[in-house]
Amino acid sequence: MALPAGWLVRRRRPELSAYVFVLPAVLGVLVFGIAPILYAFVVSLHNYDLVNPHPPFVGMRNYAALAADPIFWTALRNTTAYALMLVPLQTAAGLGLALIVQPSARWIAVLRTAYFMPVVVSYVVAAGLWEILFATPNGPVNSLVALGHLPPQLFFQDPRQALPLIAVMSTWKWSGITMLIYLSGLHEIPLELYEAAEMDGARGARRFWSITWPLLQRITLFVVVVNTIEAFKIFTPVYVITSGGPMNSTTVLVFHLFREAFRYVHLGYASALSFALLFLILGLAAIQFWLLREDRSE
Amino acid sequence: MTHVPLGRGARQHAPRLEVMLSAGRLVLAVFFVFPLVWMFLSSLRPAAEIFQYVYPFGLWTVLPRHTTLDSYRHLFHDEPFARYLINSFVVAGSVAVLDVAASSMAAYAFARIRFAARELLFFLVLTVMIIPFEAILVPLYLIVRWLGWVDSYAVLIIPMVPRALSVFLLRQFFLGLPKELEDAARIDGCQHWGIYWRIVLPLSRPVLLSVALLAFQEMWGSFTWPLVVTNNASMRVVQVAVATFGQGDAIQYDKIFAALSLAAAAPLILFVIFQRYYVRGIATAGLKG
Repeated sequence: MALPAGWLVRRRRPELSAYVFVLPAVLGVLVFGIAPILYAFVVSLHNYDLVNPHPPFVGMRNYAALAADPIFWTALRNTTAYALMLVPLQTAAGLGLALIVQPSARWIAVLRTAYFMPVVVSYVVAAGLWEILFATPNGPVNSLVALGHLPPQLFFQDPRQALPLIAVMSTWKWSGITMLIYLSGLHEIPLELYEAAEMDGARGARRFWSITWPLLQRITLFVVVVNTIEAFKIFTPVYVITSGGPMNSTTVLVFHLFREAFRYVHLGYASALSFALLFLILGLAAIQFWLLREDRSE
Repeated sequence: MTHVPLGRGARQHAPRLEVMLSAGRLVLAVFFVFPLVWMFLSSLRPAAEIFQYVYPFGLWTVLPRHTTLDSYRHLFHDEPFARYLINSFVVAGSVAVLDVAASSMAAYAFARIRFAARELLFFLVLTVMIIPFEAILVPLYLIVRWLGWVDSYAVLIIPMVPRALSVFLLRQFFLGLPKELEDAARIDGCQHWGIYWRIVLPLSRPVLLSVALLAFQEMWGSFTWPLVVTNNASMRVVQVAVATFGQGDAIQYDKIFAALSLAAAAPLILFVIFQRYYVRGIATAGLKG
C-alpha cells in the first residue's frame, strides 16, 4: 500500500514528543527507584558507616552475618506471624463489611463512610491513638475490661499480646480499603445469578457459598496477596507503639532494618537485609501474578 | 421498620434478621469511628481531667466534663506545631501537584502515542510499583545525603514523584477516552501538547482530582521517609512530630490528644468533602491492579 506523502515526517514528530512526555516520570523512576536498588547491592558488599570515606569491601560477609543473626530470624518469624494474623483478619473484615453495606440505602452509605474513616487518618495517628486506648494499667480499654470483672491486661507491654494487637489495630485502620475493593467486586456480579438462585431456593449462606464467594475468588486472591505484601512491610505502628519490644516480640523485618541502618549505622548490613526483604516481596508479587494469570486461563 | 431500597444482589431478609443486621452495622460504625471521636473530645479536656474519669468506665470517660483549648494553645505558642503543619501541607501539596503533572504527562504518552520502547518504559514504571520503598530506604538515603538534600523540602518532595500508581490509574483512564476527540483536534491542527492540554486534561478533571487526593493523603501520612531524612525541627512534618512528641518527658496526654487531632484533621476534612473521588480512585486501583 502506498503511504501518503509526508508520512515519515508526521510519524516522527509525535514520537519525539512522546519522550518529552515521559521524561519527568521516567527520570524520577530511574533515579529514585531503579538506581537505589542497584546501589543497594553495592552498599551491601561494603561496610558503610557514614564516617569512613572509603568503606572497606567485605564481599558477601554482610549476607553471611544476616544468615547468622538471630534477631533477623526472630524478625522474619514475627513478620510471618503478623502476616498470618493480619491477612485473614483483614480479608474477612473487608468482605464482611462489604456484604453488610452493599444495599444502596442512604444511611448505609453513611456507614460506608464511617467504616472508611480510619483509612484516611495516618498510620501514626492510628497507632498513637491505640497506644493510649490500650494504655496500662488504667487506660480506657482496661477500664472496659474491668466492667467484665477481668484483671487489667498488659496489652502492648505483653510479649504475647503486642503483635496480635498490632494486627487488630492494622485491621481497624485498613479494612475500609479491602471493603471498597470487595464492594466493587460485588457490584460486578450479575443480578440474574441471584434471581436464578432464588428460584432454585438457595438463600442466605447457601447463596453466599454457591455464588458470591466463587465469583469473588479473583478479588480475594488479589486482596490476600496485596495484604500479605503490606503485612511484610509493617513498620510504623511498631516504631510508634512498641519500638520492637517487649523482648523483641514485635521486632519485624523493616523495624530491624531501620534500627540497624539508622541507629547502629550498619548500612552495609541493612542493605543486605533490604535485599532479603526485596526478594521476599518480589516472590509474593510473582505468586500473585502467577495465580491471577492461571485463574484467567481457566 | 421502614423499608429500604435494596441494592444489586442484596436480598430481602426476614424482618428480625434485618433488625439484627442493622444493629450490627451500627455497632461496627461505633467501633470504627468512636476512637477518633474520643480522640477529638479528649483533646478538649483540661490537663487535670485527661485520665481522671477513664477508670472506672462511665459517661465522663467518653465526654469531657470541662472543655478548653489550652492544649492547642500550647502546641501553637510553646511548640512549633504551626511549622510542622505548614511543612506537611507544603510537602503533601507539592507532591500532589507535581505527581499529577508528571504522571498525567507520562500516562498520556503511554496511552495515546506509539513510540519505540513504550512497553519497556511502562514496564519500568510498573516495576517500581512492586519494589517496596522500605527496601530502597538505605540506598536512597545515601543518594540524597550525597546530593546534600538532608533537611530540605526537596528531599521530602522530589524522590516521591512520580507515584507509579498514579501513572497506572491515569493511563487506564486515558485509554478509555474516545479516539474521535483526538482526531477532531488533530484536524484543528492540534499537536500532542495541544491534545493533552486542551482536550485530555479538561476531560479528566475528576480522575486527576482522585489522583491528587490520594497522593496528598498518602504524603500527609507518610512517616518513614521524613523520619529518616529530617533531623532539624524546622523541617519536621507533623507525623514525625506526633510520633516523637514528648519523648523523654513526662507524658502529657492532653497535648498528645491535641497533636493527634491536628495530624488527623486535614485528610479527614478533605475526605469528607471529596469522598466520591477518593473512593473511585481506590476502587479502580484495587480492581485494575
